[in-house]
Amino acid sequence: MSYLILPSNLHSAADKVRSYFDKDYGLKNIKVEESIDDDVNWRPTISGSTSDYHLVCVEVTDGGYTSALDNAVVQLMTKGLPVRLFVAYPSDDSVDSDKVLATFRTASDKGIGIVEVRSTGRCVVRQNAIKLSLAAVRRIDRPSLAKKYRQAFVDAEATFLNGDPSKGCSRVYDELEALTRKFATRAAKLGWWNPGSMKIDTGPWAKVLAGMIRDFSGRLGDVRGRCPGFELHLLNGILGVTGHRNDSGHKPRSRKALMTRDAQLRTRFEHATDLFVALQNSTRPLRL
Amino acid sequence: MTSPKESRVNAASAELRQVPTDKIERNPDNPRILFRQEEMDELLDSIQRWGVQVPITVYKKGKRYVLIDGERRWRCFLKLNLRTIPALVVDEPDPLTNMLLMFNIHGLREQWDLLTIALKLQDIIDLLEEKKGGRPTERELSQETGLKVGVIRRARYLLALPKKYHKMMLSELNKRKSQQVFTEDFFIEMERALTTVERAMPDVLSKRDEVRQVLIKKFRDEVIDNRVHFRQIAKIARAENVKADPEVAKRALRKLFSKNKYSIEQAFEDSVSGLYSERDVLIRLNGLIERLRSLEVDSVDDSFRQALNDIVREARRLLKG
Repeated sequence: MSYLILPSNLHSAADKVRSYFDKDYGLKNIKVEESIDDDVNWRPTISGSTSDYHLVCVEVTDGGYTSALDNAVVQLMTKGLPVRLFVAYPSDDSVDSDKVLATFRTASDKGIGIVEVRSTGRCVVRQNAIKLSLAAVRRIDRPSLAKKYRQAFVDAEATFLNGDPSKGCSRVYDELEALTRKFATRAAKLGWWNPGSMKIDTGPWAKVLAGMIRDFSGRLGDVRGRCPGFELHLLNGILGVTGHRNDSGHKPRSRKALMTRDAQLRTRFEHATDLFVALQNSTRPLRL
Repeated sequence: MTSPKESRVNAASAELRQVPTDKIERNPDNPRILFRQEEMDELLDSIQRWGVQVPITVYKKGKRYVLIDGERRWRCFLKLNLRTIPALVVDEPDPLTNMLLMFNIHGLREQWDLLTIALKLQDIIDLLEEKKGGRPTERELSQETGLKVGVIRRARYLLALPKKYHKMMLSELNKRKSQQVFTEDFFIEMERALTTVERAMPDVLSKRDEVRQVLIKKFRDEVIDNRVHFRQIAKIARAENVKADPEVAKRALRKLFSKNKYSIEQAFEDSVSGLYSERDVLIRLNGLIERLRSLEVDSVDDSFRQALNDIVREARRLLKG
């Protein structure tokens, strides 16, 4: 390949990386030093598309993670492009690997993958890349969660970031639903609402919430007597997300649809987590 | 020679424009062929923070533009996916002016790698020769290119080397400065020393390239641990300057040029080291005697008197022998 911008000492490493991503990732439309989006101030050394409309970009460098690249990452995240970004470095004598790897720690914190190009020509993925459209998701504030819930949310976040955002959201909805049902059971025992013949543990989640909202409005004083921070609109908010509970969504059929879906899932993940924390906090006195 | 007026592009007609970055091409005559990552990263950072402070210079060729000045800035603009770059668009220069312009613009502003200068210098020499009908002198080359005579001389040492060494140097130059071993300075020191040997003792150096390879191996194996030691080879070759036996010097040089473990320092020690030391002492003694003659008796204090007595005592001891 011919490179115009890449320093000549990195051409051979770039060729190896290109061949690796071509064969191992099945990249299509591989381009060299071309724009991936008019709004992103950066042309990756190598870029290509996957069959599911994702972009894979590789920046070949022996200089570590630079501020110019960091700016590009921020733009990619803001734009919500479904990009998996890797930085690739040659691990021969000419590169101070320790120094380069030290700067890559910042990169890996942001979900950027790292590829080592060995002098034998072998490429080794030292860290996998997270799709930047998902990496922009607000990270879970672990201390805001009671210890018993933390592991579940850490797993949900990892699932979300590692490329299965629907499942990541689903895990958060599981926790939110379980906490809602626990609260509903206790509230029924306390006489704050009457579920009638409805089975709280197995009945439709939305119906449980609707019943609570219906009955709570007349007994808000009793509820707030035990749970001073409780607001009825919290239950309305949760009712609003029950529709997404089993919504795995359709497989996107274009990059634009993929970007829209990722943006929606990011919002849903963050919103569901916020609702969970709010419900957990306002029902804390009940020791659910 | 070309007059300054002839070798200038028409600055009056230059026009400052925003030129599409994708319509610009690098100038094939740009001597600069190395762009290191660290230098690019610094400039990328600066352009992102402050923008570009100086427009690049291009000339129009058909529907495209060719760079005269600003390749690194242009590459950074491409990397940053910026659609246009501020550029001074000038008239297309003739081939000689094109090259001289680049030497003058770049040479005055930033440090180029000497090898890249050397590789283009031959083209300039040829074009100037064609124009004036004779080889340009170093002074004329200096006037035309804006390079100092010393730089031209050093570049010529590199130019005279076989191409395989150019390749070797280019590969080194691609590395970071701290990791470069076979630098331009290494080759210049070696070539200077070998040229001296060739002039003073031509029969010792019949196969210059074989000797180069021996010396390169010694440097790689750290038998030669400092490129400055090459200067001692020149001193050995000039043995007659210190009235040393030229046959002893030749023997040391032949051994140096053939035995892998024999260092320059050892060859110097085995041949001319003592005589050069003696010469150095003699030069200093003569200087000292001159200085002592200029002193008055009442300007000498006790510590000075003591030092003089020490010198007299040592001199008597040596004279007795």
